[in-house]
Amino acid sequence: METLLDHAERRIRAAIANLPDGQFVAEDVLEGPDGFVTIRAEVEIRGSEITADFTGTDPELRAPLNCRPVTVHACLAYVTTAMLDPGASPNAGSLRPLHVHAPEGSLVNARYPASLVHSNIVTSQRICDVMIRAMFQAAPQRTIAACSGTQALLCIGGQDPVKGEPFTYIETHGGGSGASHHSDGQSAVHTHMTNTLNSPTEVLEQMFPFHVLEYGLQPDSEGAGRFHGGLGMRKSIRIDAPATMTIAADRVQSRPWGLEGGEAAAPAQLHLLRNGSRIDLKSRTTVQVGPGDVLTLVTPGGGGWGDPGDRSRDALADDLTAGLISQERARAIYSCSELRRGSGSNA
Amino acid sequence: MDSAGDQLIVGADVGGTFTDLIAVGADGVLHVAKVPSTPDDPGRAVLQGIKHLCADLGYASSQVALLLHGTTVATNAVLQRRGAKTALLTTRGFRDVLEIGRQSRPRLFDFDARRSEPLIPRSRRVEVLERMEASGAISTPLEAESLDQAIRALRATGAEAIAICFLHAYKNSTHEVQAEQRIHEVWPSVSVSISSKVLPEYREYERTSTTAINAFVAPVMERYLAGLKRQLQTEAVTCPVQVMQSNGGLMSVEQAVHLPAATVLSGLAAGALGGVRLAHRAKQDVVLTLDMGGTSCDLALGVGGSVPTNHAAEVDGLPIRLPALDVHTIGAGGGSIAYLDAGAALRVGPRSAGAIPGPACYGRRGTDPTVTDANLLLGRLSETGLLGGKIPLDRSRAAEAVRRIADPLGLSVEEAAAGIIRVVNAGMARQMRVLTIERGVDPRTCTLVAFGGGGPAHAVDLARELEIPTVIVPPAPGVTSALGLLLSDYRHDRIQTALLELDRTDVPREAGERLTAIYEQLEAQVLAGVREALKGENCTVVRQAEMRYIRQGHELRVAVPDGALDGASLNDVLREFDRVHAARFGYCIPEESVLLVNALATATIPSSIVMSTAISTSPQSTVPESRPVWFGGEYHQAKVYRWNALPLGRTLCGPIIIEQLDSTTVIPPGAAVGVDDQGNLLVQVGHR
Repeated sequence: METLLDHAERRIRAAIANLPDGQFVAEDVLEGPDGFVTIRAEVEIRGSEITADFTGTDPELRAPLNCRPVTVHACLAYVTTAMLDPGASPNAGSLRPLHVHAPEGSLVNARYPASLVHSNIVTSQRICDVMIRAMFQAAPQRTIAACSGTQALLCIGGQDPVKGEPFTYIETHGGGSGASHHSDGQSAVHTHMTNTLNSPTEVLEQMFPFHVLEYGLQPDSEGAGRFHGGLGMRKSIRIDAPATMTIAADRVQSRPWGLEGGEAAAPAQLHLLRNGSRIDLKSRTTVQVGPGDVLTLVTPGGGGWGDPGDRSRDALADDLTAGLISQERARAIYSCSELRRGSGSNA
Repeated sequence: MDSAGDQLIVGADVGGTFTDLIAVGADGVLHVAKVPSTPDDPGRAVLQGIKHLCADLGYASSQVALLLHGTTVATNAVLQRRGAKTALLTTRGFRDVLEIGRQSRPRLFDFDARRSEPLIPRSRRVEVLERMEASGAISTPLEAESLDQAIRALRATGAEAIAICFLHAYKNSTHEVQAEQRIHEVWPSVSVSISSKVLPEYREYERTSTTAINAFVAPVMERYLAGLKRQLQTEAVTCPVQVMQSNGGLMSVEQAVHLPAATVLSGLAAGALGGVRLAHRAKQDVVLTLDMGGTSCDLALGVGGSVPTNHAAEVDGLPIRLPALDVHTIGAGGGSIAYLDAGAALRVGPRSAGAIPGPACYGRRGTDPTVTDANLLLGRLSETGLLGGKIPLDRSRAAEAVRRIADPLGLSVEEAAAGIIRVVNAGMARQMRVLTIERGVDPRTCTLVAFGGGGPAHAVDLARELEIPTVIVPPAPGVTSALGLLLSDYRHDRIQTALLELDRTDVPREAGERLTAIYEQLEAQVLAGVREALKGENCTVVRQAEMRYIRQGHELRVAVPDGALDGASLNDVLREFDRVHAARFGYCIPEESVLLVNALATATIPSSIVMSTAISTSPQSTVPESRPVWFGGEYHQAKVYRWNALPLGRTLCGPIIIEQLDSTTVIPPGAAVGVDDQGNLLVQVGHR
């Protein structure tokens, strides 16, 4: 057992030692109850050790976004493994060279009784983004642009009028993943600290008083770039019962950033259609919904990498043919003038 | 040989490098041929093999009465993405189901982890306005005008095959059938696969994926089988051809054209089934098969002569929900490359040197140390080489390659080579534990059947690792897949999602009636299916159900009795489910309601081919040679026998090396080997 732990430690240390020493700082925001909340990390690489110091992160909140250092450790372990040694079988040995400093009383080291409810589904995603952005300065080609940055949790509970029983539905939703120096991000996929399966529409409609109107990709939501980020997901559900709905998302007001000149992706969109009128929802909210209300949830895309004008014209033609990017956007953002629909290799 | 009136039955299995054939005549004796595969047109090698066999045996090719065929045409079309240009017709709002999949990524700690590209790109996924409810009620009818408009959009994609998958079509197929019929009317040349026929099971992603695979490979399979038939006719071979499925059963060519997706994993099935059935003939009931080739190793557990079926397989990362024998593949073969990782640990595979450049000892520019190099260095393989010397092996090149890992580890070349063998064996042993101990099967009650080019060299070490007492090596270990074809049944499977809730206190009569109707329909379908392949009387139909406690997420499979189902028989099914649940998870909830998710039926007609299993040989009686072979940290002088010079009826004690055309069996010190009346090597593995 000790041999396996030592081996994992040797592997990750060898990889860290290949990085340049230095201190690398990045920050990003979450949507708090009273405006943006900052998460700041200084990542120090020294020899074969990494220390992530969250001094400068905003204080804990009276909102369910707080987290404990154990979550930060998990994020650092994930980011380090994914960046430096994707083939590894991580174990406690690979954690030995990784250190976290999370100031007590800050958002990342909250004290009792601060709420931690969305620590794993929202805050952890932003902690990963921030650390990756810091480490981009040390090893750009091993990083990716920001991912959708929220697991977009949706929870609906109520009384099923047909079955005459109470129901509770809960699901998280994937978005775009960030582009890298050599490839586009993936669309409508779970990223970073989650990888749960979706609920098939045919299962949802069997189990709950829901009717799914649409489940697909959101065109034009990618962070533009030479390699673009993945697209967000678009899902519309008609709720055929009186119910209480809670949404826990983020990135409605901020956007997943790009790298090396790549652009930020489209933000999340959350709204209800009730009797023909649209009600915009905040990133975290609880509302009563009635029979016939239609929720539309659009998750953010992933950030782009490199100047969109440098995107290969063949790849752009494929995007147009597939309907992932509109003609207008191709012209405005990707400086595309001469493309014809149908000229791509997918045609 | 006077064979004028006799008929010949031929099994032909197409592999990546060789096409293996086995023929059996009226005397029941098996004859083997191995010809190089012709990947550009796999049928050519089949025909060449048949001509070889007939010439050798003095048969006319017109005497071939039946050809049983294992083909990887559909598999390769998916793996190489060389299927038909395919388009999808689906419900409005759900064009991207095929792309989103289950929204998960294949590897967690890897920014470059990519889901498999869908077989149908977004530009060829067309939506149409229509909608079924989960109840099967039509909430939006499929209007003729919007259907025609969608068909025009499909034609504009230039597709040669169409997959149709509408939401809830497992419950109500009306719209899918309507769309299929209209396409046949206005566009008769295009190949169409519809989800309610391919796989009437709920969960739209898996159903769409399976239907897309079927559509994608259908034109390729149709062209291949038509071409094969033409080629056979030029040699006056006009016999029926039957095709191996992933479920380990045979089907007719016509069925293979309609449901080619059922053959996608058939390459694994024939070998595992061949091994299990051979062992069953040798009176071995619980059997592990080990089929080790150049790149990978296939393992399966067989009980009572059959291999369990798995309904949740994947090909190249794409789900395919058609039944496949439960065969596990790991990246461990003769060509698997050994290396030191960043933590200086010795690793082997899954990267393989393949056939080109091949292991270092092949002398074809390969410089990485492989499992074959290690076996050669330790004296387990002969320097004379493989295939009777057609591929000579160069010991000095092997030593040079292995030294690259021996030196940094401070080991001798032999110690490093023994380390490579131990590491590659550890991977196989781990998978053998998954198949036995993790399923409650005691390996000490199993027999290990080893075949493929590499299996017999590693089998005794592996058996000792798991305390398996006996190893069987079939008489022609390199052609076990072809033999599996002759040992296969005719089989047809069918599934139907039922989603029927069964309340314990009161199983309504109506539930029994509904289920009875579902099973009767399934039975009619599977019976028609097998009888299309063979007009046999000896047909059995087995019913099963996939069930779960209400609100659970995963099903277990349970046997269902024949005939009309009433409250009493459904209560028996519920109790059987409790028992299976308790056996698997250690507990059951006898008062909880149960959801019967899927009904399944399987029809089989057993193979009636008479054969002795013994392979025809020309025995040579030569005095064994001997050479030094490395066992347990030192060299031992081992006797080296040709397989067909083994003395019958005697038990020989290791260390022994037994060589034959396409395989080498290693018997270490402490093990003993004999030959049974079927030509199998029976090894008592003893102790290290």
